[in-house]
Amino acid sequence: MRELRLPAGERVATTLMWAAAAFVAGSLLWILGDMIVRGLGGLSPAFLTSAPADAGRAGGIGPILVSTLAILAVCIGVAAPLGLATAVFLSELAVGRRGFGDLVRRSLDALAAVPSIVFGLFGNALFCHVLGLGFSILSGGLTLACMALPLLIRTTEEALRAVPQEQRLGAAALGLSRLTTLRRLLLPAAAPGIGAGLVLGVGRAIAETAALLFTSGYVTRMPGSLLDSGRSLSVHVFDLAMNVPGGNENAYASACVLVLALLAINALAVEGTRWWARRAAR
Amino acid sequence: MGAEGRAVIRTERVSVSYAGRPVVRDVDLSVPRGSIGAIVGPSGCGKSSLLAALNRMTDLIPTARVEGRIFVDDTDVLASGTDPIALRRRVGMIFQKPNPFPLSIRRNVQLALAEHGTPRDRLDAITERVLRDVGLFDDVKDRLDAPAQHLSGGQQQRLCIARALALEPEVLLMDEPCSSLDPLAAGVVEDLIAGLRGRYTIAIVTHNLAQARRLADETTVFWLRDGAGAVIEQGPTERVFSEPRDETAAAYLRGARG
Repeated sequence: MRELRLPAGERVATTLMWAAAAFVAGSLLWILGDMIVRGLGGLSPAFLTSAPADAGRAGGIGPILVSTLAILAVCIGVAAPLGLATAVFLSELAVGRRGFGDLVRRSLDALAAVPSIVFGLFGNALFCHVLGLGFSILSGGLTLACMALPLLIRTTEEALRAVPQEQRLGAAALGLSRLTTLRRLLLPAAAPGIGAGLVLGVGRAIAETAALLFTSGYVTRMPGSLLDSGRSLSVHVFDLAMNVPGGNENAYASACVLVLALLAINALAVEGTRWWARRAAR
Repeated sequence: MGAEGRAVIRTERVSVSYAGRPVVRDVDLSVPRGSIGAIVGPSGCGKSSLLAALNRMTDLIPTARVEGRIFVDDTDVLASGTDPIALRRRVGMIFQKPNPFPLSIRRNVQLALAEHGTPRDRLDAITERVLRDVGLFDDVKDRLDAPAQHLSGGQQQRLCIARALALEPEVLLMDEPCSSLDPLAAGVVEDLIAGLRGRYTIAIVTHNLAQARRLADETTVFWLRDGAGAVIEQGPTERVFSEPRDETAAAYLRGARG
């Protein structure tokens, strides 16, 4: 049997590409593996529900989970409707009016590149002080919403644009209003893309530490309302790892929870948008 | 195109331009009730643009401007008081490429009906009637809830016609409805269109001269004049094909030009 031999140059290039891919995949697995090995042991129902003790070295993350979820809820509750409306404006209405639509698009791209620490400073100035919300879950959630919006809007806009123009023409020719076309055809068709945007945006939000230090604070108490300060998981991990000698074990366990939560949100968003698309297709 | 008094579609000196650039100039055209009017001519001479003006699909192109007068029955299409959405329910449109919605076969037919307030208990009966009308019902009756995208190209186009018929339009505008289909499917769709004669007033744009000759009662030939489409020949199909008055049209219809 004759073996097919590639030219030497191509073999070297192929090997290099394999090596690069293996290196990237390997680093990821290493990080995940390290975290799971060191963190999984600390996970238990009690860890998830009890309050932290001894500056977080002992006890669990109950109130921190609650704060994190509350911050996320504020973030999604504000960013999702605002983002969807803006994306619809950009893809469906701002087509002929290049001026304003273009300005919005450029601003969003610039916003997406702004470091999170700057969002933190801005959120601190606007929400905590000017609007008088103080260090609170509300301030943190709103700041995260500002951060998540550019990603959410651009992904949703792309998803809407990806719906073929023939669909819009076909709908118009049947006398369907633009709102009906949007609701019945465009949004369901774009649902997977919108879901991806939501995951990316929320992913950026839940992983955020810097912006939250300035806005939602780091109080470990169980929050009583959205106006209470609350510590998010990522801030907790940061604090345990950096400021609390002997906090590493719980830092790893908390990081484990953070990653698992991210995976869960991913799965939920993917399934949710699939369900939406399926329901609309009937 | 003949019998002015009974024309359902009537245009008077209609011009269409995009961003100030004219693509159709001064077109007079009429299609009598229940007949088929064909518009033929080479690519890029504004046939589709004229068709799109008839049901105000040109509204969807921000730079498009339509001048002149267009009537569908007694409705002044271009008047500011005319609601394009209500107009399009009376004037159905079939596109070159079949464009069923990414929904089930049933939903494709029923979406517009439901939005326009047809009672729920009538939807399935209407669906069956229009699918029978286009000869699709027996093929799909067991999979009405399957995605329309699973149908063949010809079946998709027939579904699009059924979806338009469901709204009981007076007029059907067809923009090269067979040109993206294979010859067999094109033949089926063409027979279907011929079968609609008498019940609907149809304006059809086609590249296919033989098809125009087979289908149309009256034929209009478009040609590019000074950068915009204009009518160079018009009349009963047999007369237009057998003794065209315009020399360019004669050469085009013989197959010598265009």
